[in-house]
This record gives sequence, structure tokens and C-alpha cells, in this order.
Amino acid sequence: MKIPGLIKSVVIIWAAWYGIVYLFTDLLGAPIPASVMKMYMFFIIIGVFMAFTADEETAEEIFGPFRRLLFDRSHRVLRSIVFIVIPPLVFMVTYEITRPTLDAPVELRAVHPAPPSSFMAFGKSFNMLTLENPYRSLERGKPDKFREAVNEGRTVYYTNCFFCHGDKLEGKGHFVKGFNNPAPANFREVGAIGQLQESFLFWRIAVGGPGLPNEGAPWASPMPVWKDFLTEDQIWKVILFLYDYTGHRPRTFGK
Amino acid sequence: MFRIKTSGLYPTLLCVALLIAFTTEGGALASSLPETHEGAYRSIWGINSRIAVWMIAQTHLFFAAFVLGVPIFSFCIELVGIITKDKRYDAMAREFIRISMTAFSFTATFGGILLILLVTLYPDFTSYSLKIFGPVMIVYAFLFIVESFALYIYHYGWSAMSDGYLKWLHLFTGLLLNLTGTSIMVLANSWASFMMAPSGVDPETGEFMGNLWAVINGPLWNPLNLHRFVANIAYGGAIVGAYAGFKFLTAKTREGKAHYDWMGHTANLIAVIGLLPLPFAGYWLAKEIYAYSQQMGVTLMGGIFAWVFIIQAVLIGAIFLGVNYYIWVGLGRVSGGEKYRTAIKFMALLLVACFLVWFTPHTIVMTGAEQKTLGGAHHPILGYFGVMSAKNSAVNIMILTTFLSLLLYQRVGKRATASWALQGNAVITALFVAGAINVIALGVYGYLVPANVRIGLSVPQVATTLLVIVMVSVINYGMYKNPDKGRAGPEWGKMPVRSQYALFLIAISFTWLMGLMGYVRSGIRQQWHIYTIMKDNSADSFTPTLGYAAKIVSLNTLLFMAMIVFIFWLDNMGKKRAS
Amino acid sequence: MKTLAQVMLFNISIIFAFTWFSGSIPQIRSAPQNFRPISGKGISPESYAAIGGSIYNGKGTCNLCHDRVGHRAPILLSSSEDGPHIVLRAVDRVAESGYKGSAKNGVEYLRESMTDPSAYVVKGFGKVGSDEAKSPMPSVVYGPMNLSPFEIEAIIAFLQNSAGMTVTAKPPERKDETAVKPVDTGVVADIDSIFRKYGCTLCHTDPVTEGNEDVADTGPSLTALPEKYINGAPGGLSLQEYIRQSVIAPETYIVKGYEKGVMPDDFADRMRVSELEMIVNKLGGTQ
Repeated sequence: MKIPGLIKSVVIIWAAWYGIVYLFTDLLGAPIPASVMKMYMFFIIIGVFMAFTADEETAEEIFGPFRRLLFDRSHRVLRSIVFIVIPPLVFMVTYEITRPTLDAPVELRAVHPAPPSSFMAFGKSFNMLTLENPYRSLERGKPDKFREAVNEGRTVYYTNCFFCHGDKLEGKGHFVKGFNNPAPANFREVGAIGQLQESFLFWRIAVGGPGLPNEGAPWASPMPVWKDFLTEDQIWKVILFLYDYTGHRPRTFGK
Repeated sequence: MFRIKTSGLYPTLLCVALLIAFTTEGGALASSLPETHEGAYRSIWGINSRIAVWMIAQTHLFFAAFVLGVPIFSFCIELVGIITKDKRYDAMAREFIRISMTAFSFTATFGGILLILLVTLYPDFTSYSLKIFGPVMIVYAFLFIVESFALYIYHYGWSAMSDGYLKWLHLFTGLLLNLTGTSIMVLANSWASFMMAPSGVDPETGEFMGNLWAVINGPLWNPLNLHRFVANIAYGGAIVGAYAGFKFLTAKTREGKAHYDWMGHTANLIAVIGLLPLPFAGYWLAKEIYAYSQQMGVTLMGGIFAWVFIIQAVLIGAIFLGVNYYIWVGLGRVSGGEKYRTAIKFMALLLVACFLVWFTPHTIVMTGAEQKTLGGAHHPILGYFGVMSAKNSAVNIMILTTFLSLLLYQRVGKRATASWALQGNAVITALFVAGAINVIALGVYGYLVPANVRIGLSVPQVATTLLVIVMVSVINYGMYKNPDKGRAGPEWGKMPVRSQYALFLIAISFTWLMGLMGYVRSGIRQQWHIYTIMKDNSADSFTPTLGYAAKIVSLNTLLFMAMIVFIFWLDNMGKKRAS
Repeated sequence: MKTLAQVMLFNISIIFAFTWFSGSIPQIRSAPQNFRPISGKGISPESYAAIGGSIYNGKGTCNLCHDRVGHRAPILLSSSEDGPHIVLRAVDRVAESGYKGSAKNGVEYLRESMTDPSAYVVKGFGKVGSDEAKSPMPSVVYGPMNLSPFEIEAIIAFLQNSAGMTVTAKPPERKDETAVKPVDTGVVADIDSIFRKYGCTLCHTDPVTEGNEDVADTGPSLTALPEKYINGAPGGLSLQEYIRQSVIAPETYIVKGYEKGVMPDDFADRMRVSELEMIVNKLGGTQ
């Protein structure tokens, strides 16, 4: 028996929905957020529609039932039912969308927000466009001094940072359980400090959570304002340590 | 009619006059960065200056893209017509140019309005810019006049220069038209890119250092040139496609339907050809922006504009889906198209799957409850889709799929005449599979390496895609080189109504996308008129929200659409009177 | 024509869909980044509210009584047992039958409460012994606060902003500015109090402490003037003459990079000669 195109397409759409939900929730254990799911389904429906209406025959299988429902005399009863059911349905959906809830409003948080072009710390202004780690040049020139600086950075890290960012810089320190979102940065991850210049880290450490711009949701990050606790020197050295330990290279742009 | 068409000259002359007035004005620059003074910002009739300049500049750009894109392929089509001796091509090229004539004067008019607005609303900014770019702008205005003459000769001389060497002379006029048109765009790009990444001026004082070429040839100039050039071709194709679609729907006769169906198909093909390399040009531009300034790069990709790229992905996805859909429906024109029905289903599946990966956001919108279950705003699985590696792979596969659609369309109803057809098909299949595997493998590899290496991986991915496209095209050409006499050509005009709506979708999405990316390109300067040189001290020195920008872009698109409809209506009226 | 309508409808619905999608995600708006007030007209609402905030907590000393605890005066900046946020409360207040003042709307009520606090006395906060007819609050245009209309409107802007509402208060036009009555509360003895009394440090860097450099960029810096004008002041004046002129007639010479019409021009009416001379001596280095 041949299955009508409309039913086939509905089944496919339903299967896609069920499949994605099952895959993420049950197999992978990480449910898919509603906002993403909505967009996925929208485009899956469009895709199915496209695939089924690409040629005349199957297109008729999709459009036919609708046309008959709307214009065919023999479908009068069904048509009336549909037109009675649709308005309350629209009403219910609208109500569900606009109903106030007790949930906190959703917000977008940029993990690496754009730094300002310059910022104030330690009683002077730093120009982010030209700022460089003063110890970085030692790496080639004087490796001994460089090791020394890295080791001092290590001390800074293990006296200040590791409580949250962890023993192994993996972002899982003792205090992590206390934070819900955002979690402390995992420095070993490929997408973290390897993507950034040292000047970015300097800014981020110096101003902490409260110094983030709006899109970084400064109210959400509990990172302290380190310029109040560390010296300029210490911050540069701990940055050396972060790169040294994780094996990442600070991002540079060839001039 | 002629008066309407020459009206483009008046704004041009006005520009020149204003330019001379401004550039000859004295006044030494201060020893510190150029600053805005009292009266640096004005507003007329309470209209927000930023919105006024924004909308007029964007409208100017829409028209400019259109009138630069159309002559490029008009020229190509005329050439094809000369080579194939198919009169249809010549007629179509002519029709395209006729459409762009009125649009040309619109472009000039809006350019003139834009300049007047800048001079009156942002006098300090404008006078600084003119001090640096004055000579460039004079050349620009001069080129505009040359372009006008080339266009008039190209259009009005079409019948007079239709035979023998005169035809080639005519083609040469078309070339001249395109050369001047492209030069105009390239010059205009120089000040747009200067505002983003100034060069050739003293970074401390903003003073011109004496080398104009250094000012023009800024770090973002060439990426912007390439990006806009390619996009213009695709955009011109999209708009003409929509025009043909509308004409198809309203055509009363069989011949009319056949003609406009064929026109829509050709325009769509041109749009696709422009579309395929466009993501790569875009990546190059983004890469150069990153290299120029980390702040700008982060603002663009990770900061306040991160979500723009999700919307961009949706728009480009809509364009890709529309293009493919049009090709698939087009298979129905040719007998034998039915056998690809199953293939279409799989291609749709592939396209949608890639598309879903492509637009999965890096920063996901989540409710509080969802964050709790996941333990943060980072999704352990979807997070993998959020980064460049996944997106690059997805877009490359999408491009390959679109190319496959084109390939199938080209083959439908034909029989391979080469003796090695079987082996050829095997090689083509192998190429597609190997290309896809390579693209995906490089994408996966991207997760394991540092960022600077990862960014570099997009190059071999792109190379793979382009290589597959070129090699398959060559093999395919060899297989179908000798015409198959027994085959029935496409039945032009045999297209369902819904396929034409795909053409409208492409045109509208394209226009909207250009508007949106214009907002981003301008917006990443943030509080600067000219990045690091001249600060924006107006009350508008903030970045509007995406929703707000979207409304402006929509308004702009609607306005442009209305004007395009008006232009087509004028054209129709002119033709009616002529007949 | 029908086809045109259909096509247009299709196109408009696509545009609408894109707009809707862009608007459906949480919106981020960046703050104006480097705003420097150019003139009353160009000031952004946010900056104006920020100026109001510094007056509320500083020169205006409003927060001394209108604090978060609220026994001395009604709590303004949040909803409490005294009612909702003051901006909302003001709207209701004007509509109350017991209200006898001249304000027609909420903003006018706010303005009236500052300039004429006794026009309406909130129950329980009247002056002791006045049977709730007089307010203990001094008018902000007199006495130590001495706020200008520009500053009063700024406070309204601040209140509106803190209520999370659109800031509608705008800097007044110069011609609207009624001359502020010269009121003196006695001789001020030290230079520090003079600076505070006339609110100099709201716009200029403080020459005494050399602090607040990051906020006070509205006017030129007042520190180290003798070094700066070692070769004589603008207009061929001596530094002392120049300072005197700048206080009495600020428009005569505008320092490059700053704007006309920002500094009040009525100090000649309000200041004592002895105070002016103390300023001249302090800034001119002839102390």
C-alpha cells in the first residue's frame, strides 16, 4: 500500500523531533535547549516541505488534502470543525507564550567579550592595542630569567587562582560547586586562552567580573578584581605560567 | 524618459562642487587627534542623524550593488551570446541593462543625498574625511561621469552596434562600463575600510602623512573589494531572478512564460556562481579584521555581535535552500527528471543537517531550568557545533551539495556520450565522497589544535571544495561534450508557481542580509567614527540592539523593494508606450 | 495586480519573519562609551542620569536623609513601606484628592518637591510642631545645595533611570534658567569648602586633592595651572587675571577641546569677593 505524502511527511517530522529529543536527553544525557530545538524543528519542517514539493506528483500529495479541505464541498463538516478548533488553539498558544512566569529572564552571555580599547589600572592607562607582556621577550633572549618569571607566576597561581580554576588549570577547583553559571575558565581547553592575546588576559584578570562589559554579564561572574590584590608584575607572570603549563601559545598576529 | 536617466548627473556635479568647496577650505589640523567640536552633530527636523545616514547609505548601497552587478553579467551574457550565436542571450543582456538604467540614476541620487546628509549632519567628520580623501573623491566623481557615458553608449547603441566589428566595439563599451563601475566601487571601499582600519595617517594626530596610496590601500581594503565584488554579482543575479519570477507569474503568453522562465533560471545560475565563493571571501575579510585588531575581531565574533552571525546563518541558509529548491523543481522541466527524486530527498536531508550544525549558536539562549540541568550555559554536545571547525565543515558540505544539485540539473535528460562514462561517474562519485570526508576530517582535527592553526585549516577545506568543483566540472564536461541528438531540451515555461517564490525568497534574503551585515561592519567600530582616530562624541555612540537594527534593516528592505517595483513599473510603462 | 499583491505579501512576511527572529533573542545594547557632555542638547539620557546620581549622592546631599532606611525622610529609590519607587509614587500623588500643590504630573511633582518641599508634606514626615504643614527639607535652590535648574533636572533624570524607566528629563534651555538668588550662609573659611559650595569639582579636577580625575572631565583640569601657563595666560592676561575672568565670565575664553555654555555664568552674582580671591590665589599659586 502506498502511504500518502502528507502522512509520510508528518511522520518524518515527528520522527525527527522524537529522534533529536531521544538522542540528546536519553542517549547523551544533555537535553537540548528549547530555543535551539524550536529553530531545528522550523528548518526540519521547511526541509521536509522542500523535499516533498520538489516535483509535481508528491507536491500534489501535500497540497491536495489542504485544497480539498478548504474548497471541496464534501468536506464541509470537517472544514467547520477545523475552523472552530483553530481559534481556541491560537488563543491557547498565544496565552502560553505571553503568560508571565517565575523563571528568571533568559540572558545571553559572551564568554570572551570584547575588551575596551584602553583601561585604567594601577594608576595608569593601558592601551589594549599595543599592550604586550613585558616578560615574553625573555623567552628567547634569557631563558633562565624566563623560567624564573614562570615560577613566580606559578606561586601567584597557587596562592590565588587555583581555588576556582583548579590544581591542573582545568577549571575544577574546590569552590566550583558553589558556582552555577558561569563556571571558572578551563585554561587547558583549546578554545580558551589559545585564542586570546596576552593583553586580553591581562585586562580580564585585572578588572575581574565587575569590569566586564555589558554583554559579558558582569553581575554573573564572581571573579575578583585582581588589580586590587595583585601587582601588575604578578599578573603578567601568572599569565606566563598559564600558557607555560597548558602548552598553549598566546595568539599573535603576524605583522 | 531621457530626462529621468540623465538626472544622475546632477547629484554627481553637486558632489564635485561640494567636494571642491570642502577640500579647499583652510584650517590646519590640531596636533592631537581630530576632535569633534561644538556643532559637530546636527539634527534636522528632530530626525535621528544616525538613522538618516544609515538608511540613505544602505539604500545607496543596495542600488549600487545592483547596478554594478547587472553590467558584469550583462557583459558576460553578451559575450556568451556572441560566441554561441544564440540571440536569446543578447536579448536578455539588453533587457538587464535596460532595467539597471533607472536604477543607475537612483544610485547617483542616493549617493548625492548621502553626501549632503554627511556634510550637514556630521560636518566635523565629513570635513576630516574630505581633507584626506578629497583627491580620491574627485577621481571618483570623474569616474562616475565616465561610467554614465559608457552606460549610455552601451544601452542606446545596442541596435546600432549589433553587427560585425561594431558588435565587438559594443562589447568593449560594456567592458569599459564594468571597469569604471568596479573602480568606483573600489574607491568607495577605500573610505569605508579607512573608517574601520585607518592607514596612512599619523596614529597619534590623525594627520595625513602624504602618501595617498597608503591611505587607500589599508589592511581591509582588498578583502572588502573582493567580498563586495563577488556579492554584487550574486546580488544582481538574485534581483534579476526576482524580476524574471514576477514577469513569469504575470506573463499571459506561452512565449512570455518561456522567456522569463529561462531568464529566471539563468539569473539564478549566476546568483549561485556568485554565492559559492562568497563565504570564503567573507572568511578572508573576517580574518583580516581579526588580524588588524583583536578588539574588533572579538566584538565581531564573540562579543555583542555574536548573535548576528546566527541570524546571518539563517539568512544564508534560506538562500541556499531557496537556490537548491529552485533547481530541484526545475528538474521537472526536462523529461527524465523523475529519476532524481530520491536523490533530492537525500540532498535535502544533507542540506538541512549541515544547516542545523551551521546555525547552532556558540552562546545558547537557555532558561534558568535548562541551565540547572546542564550545569551552566555551556552545552556539552551542542558546544562542539558552536565553533568554527564545525561551521566551516558544514558550509563546505552545503556548497558541495548545491554544486551536486547543479550537476544533476545539467545532466538531466542527457546521455553521456563518452565511452568512459561509467568510469567517469565512478571518479566523480569518489571525488565527492573523498572531498566530503576530507572536509569533515579537517573539521574534526580542528578541535585538537590551537586556535591559530585551526583558523588556518579553513584554507585546505576551501581548497578541497574548490578542487572537487573544478575537477568534477572538467570530467563532466568531457563526458557530455558531444551533443546527444536524441535528447529533448528543457520545456521552458513549465514551472509551477511555487518555484518562483523561491526566487523572491532569495532576493529578499539577500537584500536583508546585506543590510544586516552593513550594520555589523559599521557597528564593530563601536564608539569611533574612524577607528582609533576620531571618536564618536554624539549621543548615539552606542551600539543599538539587534532587534532595533533588524527593524531598520527591514524598513530599508521594504523601501528598496518599493523602489524596485516602481522602477519595473516605469520600465513596463515605457515599453507599453513604445509598442 | 493580484499577483503583485500576493508576491508583496509573501515578501513582507519573509521580512517580518527575519525581523521577528532577530527580535526574539535576548537583546544586548552597549552603553555610550566615551560621552563627554558637549552641550545641554547633545547629552545622552544615561549620562545625564549619571550626573544626577553624582549630585544626588554628592553636592545635593539628598542621600543624607533619603537613604535606604528611611526614618528621616521617605525612601525614594526603591519600593518600601513609604510606597513604590518615587517616580511611580509621584504620578499617584498628583492624582490624590489630598494633594493641594501646583504640579500637574509626576515630573512636575518631583521638581516641586525639590524647589518647594512644603507644597506637599508626606504624612509622618512634617516638621515637629508644625502639624504636618511644613517640611523639614530645605529647598534645593537655596542654602548649601544651591542647585541650578540643570542640576535639578539631572536629579529627575537620575530618579527616572533608577526606576528603570525611560529618562525624559532634559537639560533646560539656557534662557529658561531663572537667575538663582544669591543666598549666603556665612563666610566660608577654607578653599576646600568653597570648591564644594559652588560645585566646581563636579566638572573640574579637584586642585586640593587632585582626585576624581576620571569623572571630572567636563571642564579643564585645575591642577598645576602656574606650570601650564608659565608663559602667560590666554589673551595676554596674567594667570590671576585669567582665573578671575574665567570665573566671572566663563564664555570669554574657551579652552580648546571644551564646550561653550557648560559652565554657569552667574558666579559673579553668587560669589563673595573674598571667596573669588581665595580661588584666584589658590589656583594661581600666589597663596
